[in-house]
Amino acid sequence: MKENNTLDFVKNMTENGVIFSFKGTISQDIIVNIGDTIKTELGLFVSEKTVMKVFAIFIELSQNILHYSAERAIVVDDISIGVGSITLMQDDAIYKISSCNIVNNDDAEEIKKRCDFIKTLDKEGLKNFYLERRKTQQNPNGKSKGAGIGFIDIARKSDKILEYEIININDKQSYFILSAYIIKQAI
Amino acid sequence: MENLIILPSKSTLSVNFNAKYGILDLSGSSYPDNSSEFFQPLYNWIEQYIKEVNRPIELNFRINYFNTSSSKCLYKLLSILQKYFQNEGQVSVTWHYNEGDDDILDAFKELVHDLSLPYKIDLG
Repeated sequence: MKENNTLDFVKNMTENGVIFSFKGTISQDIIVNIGDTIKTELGLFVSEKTVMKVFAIFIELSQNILHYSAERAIVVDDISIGVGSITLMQDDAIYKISSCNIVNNDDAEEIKKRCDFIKTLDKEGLKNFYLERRKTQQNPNGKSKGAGIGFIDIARKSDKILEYEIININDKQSYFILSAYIIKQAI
Repeated sequence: MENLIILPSKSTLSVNFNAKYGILDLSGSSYPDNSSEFFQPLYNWIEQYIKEVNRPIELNFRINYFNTSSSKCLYKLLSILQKYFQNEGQVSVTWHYNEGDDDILDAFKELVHDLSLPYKIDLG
């Protein structure tokens, strides 16, 4: 840890239009609390519709970290919670919401494939893909706690094409960054 | 048969399933960290009601937000009712929503779009 770097850190966030940034264990309690804050604070400046879009994307991104981040904190026995970060930024016209977490390189290729495919779809294509996946994933024995349709939902709600990056850390792991944008609508 | 009552939390629905009247109310927001675990008792209750009581079902939604994993569960719940309806069961579904909340109304329409269940949309 460097000394006296708090001010640099805060200045940097301010310059980048950061409304909030959280890094750490993304528990359900934290998700609920940050979600509430988003609703209250953004509700002062933009339409309910805009607030709910940002809220919904926040929920999908953060629960994705909770369930799938390769970096995990053990809570009790065999229950673990994902570690990662989530940041909400803004300029005059738009909100950007980004998540960053570690993924295993074994999974990175599959994530890349899914994101690249989603990026090729238009609104109607995304809708059809979402409905089809929701229907076919009705597997009661599936291990996955998420619906596996979170990324499609984020892409459907984002006002710009989904952005993602996979940045190699070493031969085992990479960073996975996913960002969505919501245009601000006035109240 | 007993009623199923679950009190709401910030991220889970209020559940009030009444066995005597066949009225099933779901309201609030749904984004639990484990949706399947939350919804499992709801499926079980409906399946038991169909088996033992076998009377009409009236399902009322007053939901303002659901995440993608809840959407999967709501679809499954509606599919159970769809099966009952196809086997001569009487089912009515009402989606209550607030004016201007088109996004959640669209999300509901997507839940029922490929089902033949009769439904109503009620403003307010």
